[in-house]
Amino acid sequence: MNEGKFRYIGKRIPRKDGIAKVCGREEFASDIKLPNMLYGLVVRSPYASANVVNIDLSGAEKLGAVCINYSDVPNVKYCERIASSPETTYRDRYVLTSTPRHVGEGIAAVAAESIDLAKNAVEAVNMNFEELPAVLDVYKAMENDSAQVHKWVGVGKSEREVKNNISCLREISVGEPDKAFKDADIIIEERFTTGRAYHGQMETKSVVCKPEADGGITVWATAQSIHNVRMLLGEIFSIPYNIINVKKVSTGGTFGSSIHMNTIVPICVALALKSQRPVKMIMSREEDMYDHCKYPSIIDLKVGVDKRGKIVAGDMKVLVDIGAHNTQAYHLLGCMAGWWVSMYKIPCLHFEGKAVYTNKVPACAMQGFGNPQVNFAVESIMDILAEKLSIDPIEFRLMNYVGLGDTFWGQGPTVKSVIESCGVEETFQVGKEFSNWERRGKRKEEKGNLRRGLGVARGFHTSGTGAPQPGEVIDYSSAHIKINEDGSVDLLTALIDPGGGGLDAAVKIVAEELGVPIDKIGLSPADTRSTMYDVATHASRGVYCGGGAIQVAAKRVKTELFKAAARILDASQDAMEICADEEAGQGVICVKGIPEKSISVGEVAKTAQWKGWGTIASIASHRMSSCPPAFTTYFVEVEVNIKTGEIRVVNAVLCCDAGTVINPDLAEGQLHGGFYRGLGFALCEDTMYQEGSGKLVGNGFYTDYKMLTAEEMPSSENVVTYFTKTFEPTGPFGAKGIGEAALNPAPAALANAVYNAIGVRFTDLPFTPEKVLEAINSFKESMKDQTGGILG
Amino acid sequence: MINTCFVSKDFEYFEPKTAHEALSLLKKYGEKAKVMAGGTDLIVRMKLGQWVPNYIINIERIPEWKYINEEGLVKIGCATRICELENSKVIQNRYTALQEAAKLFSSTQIKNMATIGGNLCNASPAGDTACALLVFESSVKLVGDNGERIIALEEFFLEPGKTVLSPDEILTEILMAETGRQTASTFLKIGRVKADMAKISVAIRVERDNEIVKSLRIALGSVAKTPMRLKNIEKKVEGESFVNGLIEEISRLVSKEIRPITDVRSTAEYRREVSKYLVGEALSMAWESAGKVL
Repeated sequence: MNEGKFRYIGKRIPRKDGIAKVCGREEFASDIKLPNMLYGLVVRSPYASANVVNIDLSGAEKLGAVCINYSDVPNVKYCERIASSPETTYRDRYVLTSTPRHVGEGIAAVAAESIDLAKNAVEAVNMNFEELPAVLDVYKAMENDSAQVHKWVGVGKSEREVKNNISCLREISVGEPDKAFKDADIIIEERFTTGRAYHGQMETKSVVCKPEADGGITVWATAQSIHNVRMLLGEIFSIPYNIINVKKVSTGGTFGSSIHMNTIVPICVALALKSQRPVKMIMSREEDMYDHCKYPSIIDLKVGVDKRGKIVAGDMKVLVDIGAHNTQAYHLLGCMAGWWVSMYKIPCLHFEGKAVYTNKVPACAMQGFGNPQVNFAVESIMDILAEKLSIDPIEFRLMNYVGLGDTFWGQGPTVKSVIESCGVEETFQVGKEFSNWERRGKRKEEKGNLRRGLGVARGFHTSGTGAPQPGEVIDYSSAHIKINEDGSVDLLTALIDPGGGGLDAAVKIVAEELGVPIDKIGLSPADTRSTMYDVATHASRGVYCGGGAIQVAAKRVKTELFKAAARILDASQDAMEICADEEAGQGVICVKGIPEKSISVGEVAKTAQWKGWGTIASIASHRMSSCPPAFTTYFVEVEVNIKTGEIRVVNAVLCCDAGTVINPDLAEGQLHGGFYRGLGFALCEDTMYQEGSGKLVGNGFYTDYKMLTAEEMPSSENVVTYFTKTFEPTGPFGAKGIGEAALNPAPAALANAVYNAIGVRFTDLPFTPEKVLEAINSFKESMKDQTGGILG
Repeated sequence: MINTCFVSKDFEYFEPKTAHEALSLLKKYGEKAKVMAGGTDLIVRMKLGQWVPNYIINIERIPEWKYINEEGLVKIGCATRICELENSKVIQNRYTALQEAAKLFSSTQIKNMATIGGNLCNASPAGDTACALLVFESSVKLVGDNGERIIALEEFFLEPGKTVLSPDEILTEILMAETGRQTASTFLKIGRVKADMAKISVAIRVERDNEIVKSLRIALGSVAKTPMRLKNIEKKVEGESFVNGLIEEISRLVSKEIRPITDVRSTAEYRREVSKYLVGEALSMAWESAGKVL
């Protein structure tokens, strides 16, 4: 960190929305209440695959409900995620459908005067289905005689036939991997699988839509991008963008769950347009769990090394069961390739990714977009290889990692940049010391039921998807900054803060640039009609890309300030600087070397107003030319109960290179939060399916979707967080992203620690106590003829 | 699809202030009514549509059913909340396993709402207080239209969700038995996470006569249709010396007694195997504690 260098960056300051949030006064989509508003609910499919033979809404209509079904909505095939080029976006769903492809898919919807009445109306809807065979196994899905989830899907402007339920493929080759494997001294091959975790965000997806007199609509929606919601609604309902206004509201955490336009948004719009009244919809927890999940993965990874420990060849085959709809799987596969090749230098490699449709809940981005899955495989195999080579796992990693000056794939093969800041070595150095790494492996043979082990894994995540040239994914943000006549500042941006504090970072960046105190910078209410485009808060891009664009706007407004000050002070604007005057609570513009020539920011703005020079303001719509990785290295100490299979994390050292840390409290919180979620992904979080029916085990009830709580976490004294002293030259004041990097290495670090404790390696997430105990018992069985052994 | 934002059907709600009032309401509405004592299980079942009562009689606000009475044998009122059990000194000192069960009971929020009577009448095989109370040979008082009856808790449970309560009866009180000298008890539980129902729970009460096992009570939760006592093992061990190998012997027998199933929380195999370990752990902990008691 660069303490002392900055006035506001890196300072511990309470977050702007903190008071409103703890007092319950922050406004979320579900808080919006409008006069004459109706409440909407969706009628959903009980079957994983079916055709609706007959639907009768008259019972619901008799209750006074406004009803719509699949024939009342535009016959438009869409993809809810539109951040990428149309040629790589797969359109395979409708607002409401007569051919539901997973349990919980929307068929009809009702809106009524009260939520209770709406519920009764849903129950009064009569439907007959022709149930079709459901495809629930990813391997069976690819067989020739399997039922087809989709026959045709839209890609670009055309329709593409789906064969063997394979939605999309990606293959990437570098060098001659076959030949390189022949030359390798050691080859390790292993299969790693990960589950369908559910986002579990605090706020279930919500939306309010108000039809306007001019034929337009105003929408308040849980969303990570208001502009993409507007564009999609415009496309589906053929409404010009200029009369669609999507308002920015707070989100109760998303973890990727609202990276796209949520499925209830167009349903709500359709209800509002039909009823010509405002309609509100709030998803229940069950609906939410039947809406989306994390991409599960089956990864076959093969790595070859030479005797000295240099990686010479790699092969990765990825199979992803994407469920009933392709939200962004083509990019997921590209990203998974990128996450792999950006970890370690592999001169010759082959990657093959396959995304397959099944009649399950559609998978979408969730904290890491394939990175935790790939990281688990890569960082597990690195430990396996290090052991084979008899090299310390840290040394082995440092021999091979992708670092300073190397090429990094921030978003698959089309978004690449050169790494200009790298704290990987520092994270290992510090982590080794804090975790007491030297004592690992020197422990005496342990007895008793509780076995301790120490493990490490490293990871990273991109900071957005910027690059020197455009790739498959759109990436830019925009801001409008205006200097008020009292010296305060209005910052207007469509950038969303899903909870990590990205907008607090944005405010600090403006404060630092303009010397204006943080409490004098206001975040203006934003909507699509008053803001310029912002792609979304995803890919850990909020601080780096969002903040980067905002910094450009701040620099421009500073130039405008200097221009006006130059006229007032009769001095050259090139000689001006701006500093903070804490006493005046304002920024002050000074002329270097002439102390008597200074004027406050407010005075400049006021003078400009009196003299009629106009408001001092600026705009920026800016794409970053890089996508620097934030690095994380996690050391985890576990205690495994070999009689119950329970795993407890005792200590953790979380080291991170996020460049300049803008919000230290929130950055530490991100590390704790990401680590916690990574542990949950490794130990318990998964959505399982009832045999044959496509219904979730536990039916989507939260009571049976277990997430870790503070009770399972080590106490905060036992979790050390450390940020490296790095500076990203391309980032706002040297900053990079952090959010997803904070999760990625946690599962592998845990698995490596468990291996260190009991000598059993887990390759299938989550490893529940049931799996652990079974593995311990078969390990013991296999070792029974041998003396000693770690579990002896 | 079930939507847990709603209870499936409207109902009439009563909040009686006296026991008499509650019993008259129950007599009046009988099977169409459900007694609510905290609601942490009842409301869930209503949301899932498993129970569709027309009337709810909330007894959680009745002062005469909220107590831990220490005069003579300890008696606990049915509307006593789990957090009150957790914080009671007499429960902690004399009925440690029950206090520990209260401590490990779900989450703080649930402990602040749920009651001991509600937990028993919900008759879950995983009920934490039931498992603990079984080792104290507790009885329950059932009061109805035809007066009251006292039955052993062991006789109270029939199967998951079912008890011997008749539609006009309310479980009003839990009667605790005397605990002997050199006696200690403990409760252990494994859930998917800490704030969860048990995958397996174990309660043990042991009375020592120096190195002899004078009496032993073992109860397990979540390993059969109801919380169960392992009487065969108890009988076998009583009067024996607490020698090396005894715990291993008991652990071995445990798997023959229990009848676990595979469900959303765990597997039958896991329950069978880990029950053995938990019984052994609980027994050695209780044995050691009992040695420290005069």
